[in-house]
Amino acid sequence: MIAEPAAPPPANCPRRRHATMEALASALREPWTLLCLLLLAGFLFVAFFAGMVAGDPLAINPAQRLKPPSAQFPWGTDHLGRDVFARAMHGTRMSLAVGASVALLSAIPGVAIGIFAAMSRLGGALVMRIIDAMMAIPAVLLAVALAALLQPGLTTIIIAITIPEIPRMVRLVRAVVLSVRQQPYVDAAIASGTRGPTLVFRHILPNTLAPVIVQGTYAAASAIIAAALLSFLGVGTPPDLPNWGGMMADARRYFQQDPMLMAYPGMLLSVLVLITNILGDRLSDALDPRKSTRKI
Amino acid sequence: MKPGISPLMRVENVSRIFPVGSTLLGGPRHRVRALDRVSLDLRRGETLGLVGESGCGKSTLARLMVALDAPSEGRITFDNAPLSGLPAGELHRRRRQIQMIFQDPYASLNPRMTARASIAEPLANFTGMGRADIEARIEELAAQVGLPPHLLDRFPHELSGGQCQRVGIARAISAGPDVIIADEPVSALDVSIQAQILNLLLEIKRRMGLSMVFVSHDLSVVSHIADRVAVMYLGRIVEIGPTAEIFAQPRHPYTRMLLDAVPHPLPAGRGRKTQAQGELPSPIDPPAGCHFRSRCPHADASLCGATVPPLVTVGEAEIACLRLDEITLERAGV
Amino acid sequence: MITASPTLSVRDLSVSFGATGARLQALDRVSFDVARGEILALVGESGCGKSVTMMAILGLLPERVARIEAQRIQLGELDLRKATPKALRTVRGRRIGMIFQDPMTSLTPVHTVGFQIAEVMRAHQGLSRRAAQARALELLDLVRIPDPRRRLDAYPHELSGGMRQRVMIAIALACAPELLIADEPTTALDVTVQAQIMELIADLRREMGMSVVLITHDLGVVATTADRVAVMYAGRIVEEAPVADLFRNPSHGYTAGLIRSLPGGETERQTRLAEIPGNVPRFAAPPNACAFTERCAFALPGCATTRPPDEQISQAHRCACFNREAVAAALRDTPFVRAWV
Repeated sequence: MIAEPAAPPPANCPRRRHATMEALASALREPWTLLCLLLLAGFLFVAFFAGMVAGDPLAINPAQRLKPPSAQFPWGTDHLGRDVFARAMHGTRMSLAVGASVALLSAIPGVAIGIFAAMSRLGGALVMRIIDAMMAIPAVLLAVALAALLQPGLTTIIIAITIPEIPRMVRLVRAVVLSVRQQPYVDAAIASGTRGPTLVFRHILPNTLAPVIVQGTYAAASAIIAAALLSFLGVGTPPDLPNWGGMMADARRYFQQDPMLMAYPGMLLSVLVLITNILGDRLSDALDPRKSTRKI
Repeated sequence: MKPGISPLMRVENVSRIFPVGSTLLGGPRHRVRALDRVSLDLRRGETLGLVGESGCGKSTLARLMVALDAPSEGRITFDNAPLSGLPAGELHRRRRQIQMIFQDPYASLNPRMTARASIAEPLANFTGMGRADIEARIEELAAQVGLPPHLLDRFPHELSGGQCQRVGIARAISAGPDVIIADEPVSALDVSIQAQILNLLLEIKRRMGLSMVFVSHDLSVVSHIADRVAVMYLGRIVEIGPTAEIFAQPRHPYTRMLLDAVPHPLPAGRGRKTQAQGELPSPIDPPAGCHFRSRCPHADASLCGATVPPLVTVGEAEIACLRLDEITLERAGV
Repeated sequence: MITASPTLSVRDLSVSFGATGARLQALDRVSFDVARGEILALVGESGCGKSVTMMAILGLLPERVARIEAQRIQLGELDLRKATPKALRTVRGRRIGMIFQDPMTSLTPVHTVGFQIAEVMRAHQGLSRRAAQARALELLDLVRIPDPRRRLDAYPHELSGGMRQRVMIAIALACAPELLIADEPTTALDVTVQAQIMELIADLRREMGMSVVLITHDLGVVATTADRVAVMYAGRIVEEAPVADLFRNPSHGYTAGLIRSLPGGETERQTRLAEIPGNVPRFAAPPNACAFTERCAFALPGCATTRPPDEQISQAHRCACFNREAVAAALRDTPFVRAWV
């Protein structure tokens, strides 16, 4: 028998299947990641409980137009006398809803189509030509057109931003799947008798997910900006839905009098996009099994 | 070949042509014959070594033999039945019988699967064993390949190269194959680990009565492990025969150049001039006739450039050289 | 062999990595000399410290993470320990040439090889463009590249692996260095090309009178090319000797293990090779032990508790092994050793 000298197993050696969980746990121990997560949790809290932390974002009070911050209105009032703080807090809702939905809604069809495009030679070529055609249309133009065609509302905005986002996801997934498929372990799995869906779901998909998740967070970040842009342009958002883009559009005319009207939603937007991007980077590191654990 | 006993695997006139580059219209710019009408037999119970330098087609042939790829021309049979063009169910049954060990032990394991899960895969796919049986069999296999059981729950990046290769070997033998195709199984390992893995391969081969194809660029390793050796150059076999004969008496000028170039830890090699000259020509545009003639000290432009040399039987070996007789005489005269 | 003034002299070089508290010892008191015109082979497995040794000498280890201590790192009359980063940059390239395993990664894909060779000389020697081009042509000829005039205008991807390595050698030799460091120069190459490159290095050494440190894991390459060998294991040099002495009288358990486990010589075909058990260690062993103890066929009880001191076996042969007589005796009758007697 050619045994290696049996090093005694470590005393605590439970079965380890959840490498990803371990990796995420270790990522949590980093201060910057933790800070970003706390901030994100803050945004989430505000989104859910905006009604409790802030007043009515829609109440118009012409007598209180463009007032500086006060006890009643912590961030002052806008040109209609509405509570800027309340509007900014309520605006979190739309940004987060759009970011999360777009990431999710572009990832699911993106992954499915991307895998199909990589695994099927003929169908793949066809799909990729369609995707190329879609990518030839500027995303903002497509979004504006879609938003203009449909009823104004949150759903419309999400759809309008998701559809131009999908081709990017498809391209990424296809490229990653094509490279994963070349890996020796996929050959080994085929030689081991693994076929069809099992091959895709056990060997290809898990090793494709890390870049997809990262791309998802970037998609969320850019969707938040896109939503703000659409609102800023005045397409897609109904007037009774407070949102940062709309607030900035309104503030534009009063920039000389009160630049802070623009700055509050702008800052929130920047911070949210920044932490989403940072978390995306950290996630991509954590999801790489080679970088995460430091055993041996 | 001994009459009466059919070979286990037979490669007949197999070519594999790869398209290279692409034109504007999407067609291939060049075609490379990675394998050019290769024929050989794998006999029952033998270890056949495939040697040659990069681009000689040895790994391409290995992939064809495990049906990870299909020949462009010619055919491969296993136990007298064709290996390519099979319906899915039939191919699946064949895969169980022909298993592969890969060059990069780390990259051939899924980074997200534990050693246990990797070894379990062929068992679950081929044998229909229950979960408990599979678990028991995995422990058994780990013992057979010398993998301490506590390492079974580690991921590839938590194992050393040698340990990963043990996992790869356990996976290959788990469902009881008849043939193992080992593609450079030790070349990525440290020197002190290579002997461990070679010993392990020799042992499982003997115990399980396997036939084996052993692909390697390392001639001393092949000389140790193989019964017969096929020497390949630019997609063709130039010499094939019993290991002892080829190493003691290489006949093809390329085999000789190759053996001569191997640095041995012996005093004889010191200060001696190598006979090796030139480098591999581009596989896109190899010399016509004998591929080796551009580097061959004995080449005769009009003769060697005109015909593709066929394999000619000499004793137990076969050699593809048009000037074999002259070269043999020349050497005898010296 | 060791002349009065060696080209490179290293004494008690230690390197450790990482943060305080969890420092990993990568090199542990490594000492060696490279005499003028000599090829010294550093042999060992991945992680044994052979590359770290050279990086430390060249000042290429990042100061943030690596702590380097040494009694002496002397290149000719120059103390490399005290050299400024700027001085070290001049030393690298002008006085020490380097070639690496993969020539493709060391060459820029966007410039012709002629430009890249000329660039080195213009930077280090201040040659004019014309003079540098002329010298580049000479160098390509020197490293025996056929049709050098045409190759000057070739891009790296147009050359074969062997040709690229020749170009790397040409660049390394551009300023006629006194020391050439070749880190696994032929590992990525085919055997027939390897033979030619090793021969080229040996020839050039003779023609230019330079010293060579050859980092390799291949005892065959060592036997055919090197003058002296230093065998490294887990960050220490465990045995050092002229090549013939090492093979004739291998005295460390690890050297013996390596020689015995080689296929193709000693063992009858298809029988078990004398393998070295266990795994390659990642970093150096505890300070008070021989690092090879666990894997050693000749280990004595004391090996696990005391670090074997360096002892001179003969004038040029030193070894750190408590059981060296037994090792040498056990190997005496093996074919690889007998061939050298």
